[in-house]
Amino acid sequence: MASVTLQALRKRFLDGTLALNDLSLQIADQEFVTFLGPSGCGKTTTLRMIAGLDNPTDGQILFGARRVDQLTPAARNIAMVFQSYALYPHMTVRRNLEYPLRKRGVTGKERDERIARTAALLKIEPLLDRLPRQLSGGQQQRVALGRAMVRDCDVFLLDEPLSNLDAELRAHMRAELVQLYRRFGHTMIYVTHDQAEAMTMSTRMVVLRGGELQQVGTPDEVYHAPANRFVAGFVGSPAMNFLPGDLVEEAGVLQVRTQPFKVSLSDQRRAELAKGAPSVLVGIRPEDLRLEPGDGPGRVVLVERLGHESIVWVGLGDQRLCCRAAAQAPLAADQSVRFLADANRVHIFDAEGMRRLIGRC
Amino acid sequence: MIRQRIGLALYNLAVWVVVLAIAFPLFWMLSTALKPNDETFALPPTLLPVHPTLEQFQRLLTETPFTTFFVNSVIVGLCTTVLVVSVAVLGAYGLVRFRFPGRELIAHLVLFTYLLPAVLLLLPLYLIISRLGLANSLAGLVIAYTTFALPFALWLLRSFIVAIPIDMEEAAMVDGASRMRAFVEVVIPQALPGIISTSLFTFIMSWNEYLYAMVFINVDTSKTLPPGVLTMLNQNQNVEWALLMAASVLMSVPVLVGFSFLQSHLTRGFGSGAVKG
Repeated sequence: MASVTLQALRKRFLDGTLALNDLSLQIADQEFVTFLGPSGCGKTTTLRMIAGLDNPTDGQILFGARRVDQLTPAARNIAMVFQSYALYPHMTVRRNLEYPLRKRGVTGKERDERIARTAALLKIEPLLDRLPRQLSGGQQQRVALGRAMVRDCDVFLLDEPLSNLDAELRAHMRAELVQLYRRFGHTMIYVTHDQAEAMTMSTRMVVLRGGELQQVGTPDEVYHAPANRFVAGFVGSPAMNFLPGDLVEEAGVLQVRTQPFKVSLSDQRRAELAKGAPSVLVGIRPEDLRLEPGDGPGRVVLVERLGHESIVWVGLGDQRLCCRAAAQAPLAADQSVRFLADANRVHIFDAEGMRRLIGRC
Repeated sequence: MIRQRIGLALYNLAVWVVVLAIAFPLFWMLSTALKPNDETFALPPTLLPVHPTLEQFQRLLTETPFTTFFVNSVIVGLCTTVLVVSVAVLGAYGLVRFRFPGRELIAHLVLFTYLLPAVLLLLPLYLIISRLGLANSLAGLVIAYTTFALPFALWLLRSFIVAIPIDMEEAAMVDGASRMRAFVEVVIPQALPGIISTSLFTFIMSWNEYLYAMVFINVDTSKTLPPGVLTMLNQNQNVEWALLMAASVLMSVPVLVGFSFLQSHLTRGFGSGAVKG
């Protein structure tokens, strides 16, 4: 096991595309770090460079004190689970698990013991003599995990390993992966575009966009204090609502005014507020925005009743705002509503949404 | 319901007509090869030999240089196949996996050479082979066959290797294999149906080739089957059809046997279900 250090890592492809720009990051030993971002954000490119499957254009990669960016994948002592599972289709499950051990020169008896141990842990013993094509998606996924876990490695890399599973199996495997991580304590780097996976599994999240680092932090930090509009909008479902607003001082109290609501900031929050122009971008999460039936600027467009809660979409001019409401909230389409917001729950960004101006909510 | 059945019956009839039209010459070849000489031209002709005999085969194997031609054909066929497939599989892998300037241009130029008529290359190749001192040798034929089998083999294998997900190779490299080991242990087994079909194509091309073998080889000891059998039979003024048919049967055997052994590999796709997404 080892820590991973990325120093000013940059990747430009042959066609000139800048896939990753100047990423520096320190991942501690035994940490579970998730790279999160939309397609093309550079998360898989970063993982592939850590694995040695792509070479960085600039920068360095270190495992502990050992520089590895010039080494072949085989020499890095990593294990990797691919999105496609990448099982060897002409080998049985047993031979798939055996392959990395054979390559590392693990001898017969120890090899068999390790395979048996891994198979028992992942409950794939009855599958050992089957070919990958005879397995379901979930079983293939387990075998792919097993192949990565069967030997001791410094760093464990996972490239969207759950994205091909159905929702139920995905939730199940998510929990199993966390348990495996707690049990073995490998340094894990996990790539996903699914924020739920990132939020629930990792000790720290790295949010990327267009090859640029947006934010590094614990899931709690990223959710409650997103660094900019992109992170705020990407993490959380349904996504955060954004409204243009103004900071206005009135009778010694600083108010945040938007079209549908205004809130007064407490002295404590005011003290946290970074100095900037009075025009700002105000973000508020659907669970922090309350609706009251009555004469107001909003008109209910749709109420999605999910059983345990309702998601209410409200039209406000050209914009649509999303609110979480109680399961039986007395709201219906075409109803006029007022908006209420808690001053401690509003996120304030600069007008372009590039920078957060206030502390965590 | 009745219309459906009539349609099915007509369809079956049409298929059987085509099958019989294709199979009849082969059947006639076998039947004639098993007839004694006086029955070959009997009128009315007999569909099956009345007195079946292996006499023609015995004559062919004992009184003619057929076995020499046969062995020569096997040597040329196997050497050409091994050479072509070895080079093509590596070349196809390089064209698919490595990024380098002019990659597509090279791939298309290779195909362009295949588009040239074989007869156009006959004389230049003959001159080159002669200057290399390989005229009248099997090695000369192997080189000549390689020149026109290789481009096609390269393209055929390229399409098979393109279909192999790169993830598997990368997984092997992460697991501790070098690129070459990953190629041998992961890519080759996946490309096996392609390698087998390319091998069959190359072997059959070499086995049946007449023009180059006729021009390049002028000594009986180095002749392959197609020109060998023809010159052997032309030496007599009257063509011995029964003997010719026996030779044709024996010439068909290796191809038929090879094909029937390997055909299951041609259709079997190892890759199905191994990679998701």
